[in-house]
Amino acid sequence: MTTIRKAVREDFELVYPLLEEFNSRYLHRQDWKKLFYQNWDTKQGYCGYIMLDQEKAVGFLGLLFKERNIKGKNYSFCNLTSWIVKEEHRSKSIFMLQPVLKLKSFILTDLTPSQEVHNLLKRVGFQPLESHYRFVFPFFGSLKKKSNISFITDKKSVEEKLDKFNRRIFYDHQFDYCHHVILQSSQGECYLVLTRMVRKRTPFLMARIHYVSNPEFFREYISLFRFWVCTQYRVLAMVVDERFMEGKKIIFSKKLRLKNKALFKSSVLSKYDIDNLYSELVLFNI
Amino acid sequence: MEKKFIKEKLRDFFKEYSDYVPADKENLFEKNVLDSYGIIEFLSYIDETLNIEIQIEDITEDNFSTIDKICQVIQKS
Repeated sequence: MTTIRKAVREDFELVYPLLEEFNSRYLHRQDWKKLFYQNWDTKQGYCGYIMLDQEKAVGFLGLLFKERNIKGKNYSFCNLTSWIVKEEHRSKSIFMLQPVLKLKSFILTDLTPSQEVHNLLKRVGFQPLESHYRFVFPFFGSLKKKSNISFITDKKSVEEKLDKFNRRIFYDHQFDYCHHVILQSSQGECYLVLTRMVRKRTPFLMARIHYVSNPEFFREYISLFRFWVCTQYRVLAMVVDERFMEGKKIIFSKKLRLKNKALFKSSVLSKYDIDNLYSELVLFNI
Repeated sequence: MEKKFIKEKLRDFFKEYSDYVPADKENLFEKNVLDSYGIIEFLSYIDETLNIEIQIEDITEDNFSTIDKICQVIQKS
């Protein structure tokens, strides 16, 4: 007899053996633990759904909740992650998704669905969020462009310069691999959150941009920023989700297809309003 | 819609989808006949062939457990 219930912090030990079945090269016990112990959400009080068979976890669907302010309005976000169900129980996995689909007022995202989950979510109304990312390589010529641009990375200075919404983001993303930068010129400024990471398909260090507070400004100064990022963080390339670029062409960059195309479900926000913060991408640095 | 016709159509799906056609009272969940994507395919099939739209939210372990019960859901729709 299987049962499905909300998963809470105390369920970590019960679920962990199941999560190990992902056989992830990059995720270890401490990483998985973050899914249960992160403090992003203070309202929902649970971190997913668990399927039990005789007290043993046979299925898990992780959920990362966060209420966020986008363009002056508050929205509730829920990022689906780490959905795993033992093969002999897969006919019931749909019952783990049902309560999530009932979160009608939430913006639902799944940033790394497998092909099967992707097909399933499309059928229940999810829309494409991202299918490509862009590798932006350092371009020395870009340094020649004269500018009064400056980069603020000192934590205290960054914190002081941010407004209350961005400061919340800053506090919530204090992981070792997470970096916070303010790009500043006389024309304006832009706060960015990026992680230094390695991916399976591209085994070299890169910096992935997860949040851009002022996309227009970022696009304007990307030529300078790319070189600075690569030297500052000693990475070979900067990786940007294609939707942040809004079609802007960049020399010395390469557009690549995401292996797992990201999806979202929302009737109020467009894909351009949705970034990668408060998601598995940042939590696990994947 | 005739019960017999509905059951025939439902069986056709299983023949096509999994090569295993469950008996009318056989529990689909216990037999693990369909995975979650299979259920979505099944709903689309019901919509296309019987012109009955069943929402994923309306499926329960009880009302969707056997061909007999699915048939009742379709007849009530």
